[in-house]
Amino acid sequence: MLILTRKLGEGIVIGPDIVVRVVEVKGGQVKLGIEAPRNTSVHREEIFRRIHEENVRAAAGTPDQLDQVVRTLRPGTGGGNSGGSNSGGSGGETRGGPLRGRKPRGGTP
Amino acid sequence: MKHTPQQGANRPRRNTPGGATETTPQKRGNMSQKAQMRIATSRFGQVQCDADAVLKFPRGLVGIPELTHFVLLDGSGPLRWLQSVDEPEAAFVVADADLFVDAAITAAHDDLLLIGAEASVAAVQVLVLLTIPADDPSAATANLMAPLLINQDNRRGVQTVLPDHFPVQHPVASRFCHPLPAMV
Repeated sequence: MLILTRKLGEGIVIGPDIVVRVVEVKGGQVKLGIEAPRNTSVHREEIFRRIHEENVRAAAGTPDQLDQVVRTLRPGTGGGNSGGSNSGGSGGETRGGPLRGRKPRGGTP
Repeated sequence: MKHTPQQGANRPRRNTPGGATETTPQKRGNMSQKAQMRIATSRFGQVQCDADAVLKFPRGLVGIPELTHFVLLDGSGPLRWLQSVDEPEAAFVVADADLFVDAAITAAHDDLLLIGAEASVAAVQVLVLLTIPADDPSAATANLMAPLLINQDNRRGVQTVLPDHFPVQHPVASRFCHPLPAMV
């Protein structure tokens, strides 16, 4: 592993277009600012690993399991009927909408 | 039960086994000449679908960046398959997020930018991946922390990570999930 020492406000450049900068150092915590192209995903390591593991597990499903899962679904979720006829839409408006975009958490280009 | 045939106008259709994966224009009796493609799958054999039904995930899935193209196939009830076009064995059981989440979710702006939905989320479909234990399918869980956002206007998708604290393993048999207050 490459180890570099940086001071507050200093950064490192990874590849042609990724910059990681030390934004704040307080107690045992370091706050980092990351600039990366939109196609590059940036995650906290433990979150990344957790979701990666879950994605790998999720890829192991088999068709014969589905009916049993559908029967398990809470009543009222549409389980066991309609062949997913309504599942292509965004749905959920009656419950307030499935997605609300919010303004950026981080910097935008 | 078996994988059921498709019905919708723009949904992928299963078909009889055929040749290699490639795009072949279909000239039928009707006027439509939609490009069709065959996709090799390990679970369903050869699947034929409209080429424009392919979903493009520029970043792939989290930890699996090599899977960038998918189609949605009907499964059972509200469950569908997100089948990789790139890898026959890669398929994920998915469901609409609003089966499990009774709240608006907040997506990262960069992820909305990636799929061209930063101005409007009206066409964004939110799906969640299900994990089904081989020994007990009734214990299936839904990954609410990292749902898929699909812009149905341009068919671009991304697996986002929600800033709110939704669980990675939400039991599908349980009630709606409400996020815990976000931590700073």
